[in-house]
This record gives sequence, C-alpha cells and structure tokens, in this order.
Amino acid sequence: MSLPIYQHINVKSLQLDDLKNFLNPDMNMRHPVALNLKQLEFDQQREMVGLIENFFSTNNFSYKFPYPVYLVMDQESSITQMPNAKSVEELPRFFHQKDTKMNVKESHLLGRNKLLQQELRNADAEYVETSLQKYGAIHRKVFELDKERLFYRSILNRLIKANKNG
Amino acid sequence: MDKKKLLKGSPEEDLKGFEEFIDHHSSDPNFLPRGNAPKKEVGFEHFTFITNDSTRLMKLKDLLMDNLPFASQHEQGENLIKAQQEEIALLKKNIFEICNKPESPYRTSMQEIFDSFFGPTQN
Repeated sequence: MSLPIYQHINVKSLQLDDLKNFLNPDMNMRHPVALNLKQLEFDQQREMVGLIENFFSTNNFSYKFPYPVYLVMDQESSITQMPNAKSVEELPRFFHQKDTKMNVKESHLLGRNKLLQQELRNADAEYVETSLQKYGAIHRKVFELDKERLFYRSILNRLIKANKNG
Repeated sequence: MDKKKLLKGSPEEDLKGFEEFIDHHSSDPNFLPRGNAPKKEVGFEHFTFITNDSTRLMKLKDLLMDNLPFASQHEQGENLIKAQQEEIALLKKNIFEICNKPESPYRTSMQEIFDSFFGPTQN
C-alpha cells in the first residue's frame, strides 16, 4: 500500500502501445496522476490531450475523482476541461509528500480509505459531471438575475425617495 | 497507585544491599548506560496528510452519493429563477409607471432636452 502522492508519468510518444501502458481504469484510483506531456511537440500535446479526454469520456471514467489526473503541458488551459498546469511545481501542494515508510497506524488509516476510493470509483462519472454542470449553470443564472433585481430595486428606491422629497 | 508512590519515594531503600556492587563498577563507563540509548523514532509524518485525504474523500463521497442526487431530485433553481423574473418584471413596471407620469423628473428632463434642440427659438 502506498501513499496517495503524485504518480509522475512522462508521455514520450503518441503511439497506441505507449498509451495503453498508462491509460487504464484504475490509474487514478489510489493516487493522483501527473501526465507530463512536455516531451511531446507542441501540436502533438494537443492531440494527446484529445486522446486522453476521449479515453475518459468513452469509458465513463472520471479524471476528477477519487484522485485527479493532471496534465502538465505547454498548451493553453482553455483547450481542455481536465485539470492542467504549465509545470510540475504548479501542481497542488497537497499531494506533494515525501514517499517514506509508514507506521502501523498510518497504514491502518490508509486501509480504511480504500473503501471510500472504491466507492468513488464506482460513481457514474457522466451523471455526476452533467449534474454538476447543470447545478452550476442554474445557480449562476440565479446570481445574475439577483444582481439585475437589486439594480432595478435601487433605481426604484431612488425614484420613490425623489418623489417624496418633491 | 500506592505502590508507585512507594517506589518513587524511596530510591535509597531500593538500592539497599547493592551499594558495594555499584561502587565497584562505577568506574566502568558501560555500567548501567541509562539514557544513552538512541530513542526509537515514532514519527507521524503522514498521519495528518492521510487524515486530510480521508476527509477529502469523505466529503467527495457525500457530494456524489447524497447531495448531488438530492439536489437533482429537488431542484429549487427553476422556481427561484421564475420568482426572480416575476419580481424583475414588476420592478420594471413600477419604474416605468413612475417615469411615465407627466410631472416626473424623467419626463421633465426629456422635455428640456427636446426643447433645447427642437423647441421654438427664443428671441
């Protein structure tokens, strides 16, 4: 049993055999993964991002839970929905830990997390993603409408006040 | 508890009968090397990290398994949007009614602007 710290994978080519080596259903089940695409050419990085996204969407796996899959690349973040960074140093510090031997209590606690990881792994990724997007979109609209409502309310209050003052 | 107190309170009594033996070996540096042994390291370096990760996983599980299905089944957003749109329409209507009165500041200002451009010339 190992600590849930980054598993760094250097992607060196676009070949299918190489992809099969690291793209598997359990790749982010026990630890976060950082896929380093920097060794690929700039255009190849975009192509690789498409292939990785395709793998997750067609198999209905999530790249967000139980542990996130990060892309380390030179391309702009807007080309993908996946979490990404320009360099390894920019990755969230939470999972940057020393990989040393654990004591019994720590191993025991890690063992308890296994069940949670399995449960999250079994969640329907597409349903979760759709529900979250929908929830977010509705609440963004509520926020925008409330801003508009407050704007009209302030105008009306000022008009009423002006009328009273004559 | 009483036994412990007795032992702590009388160290000289414990050593009774061993004085000569201790005196004889006191010059030996390896004799009773108490406190010199290196302490066994019992670090909990990763304990906090794993605990935090456990909390993170638990919150994720609650979100995905409980909160999200509940929110989907009992979505309040549409109702809120409808209520807000109705209130906005009402506010707009009220604003328009106030502004549309002949003596309203809006009408007066507009009249002044129009008169300044298109009104009869003053001699």
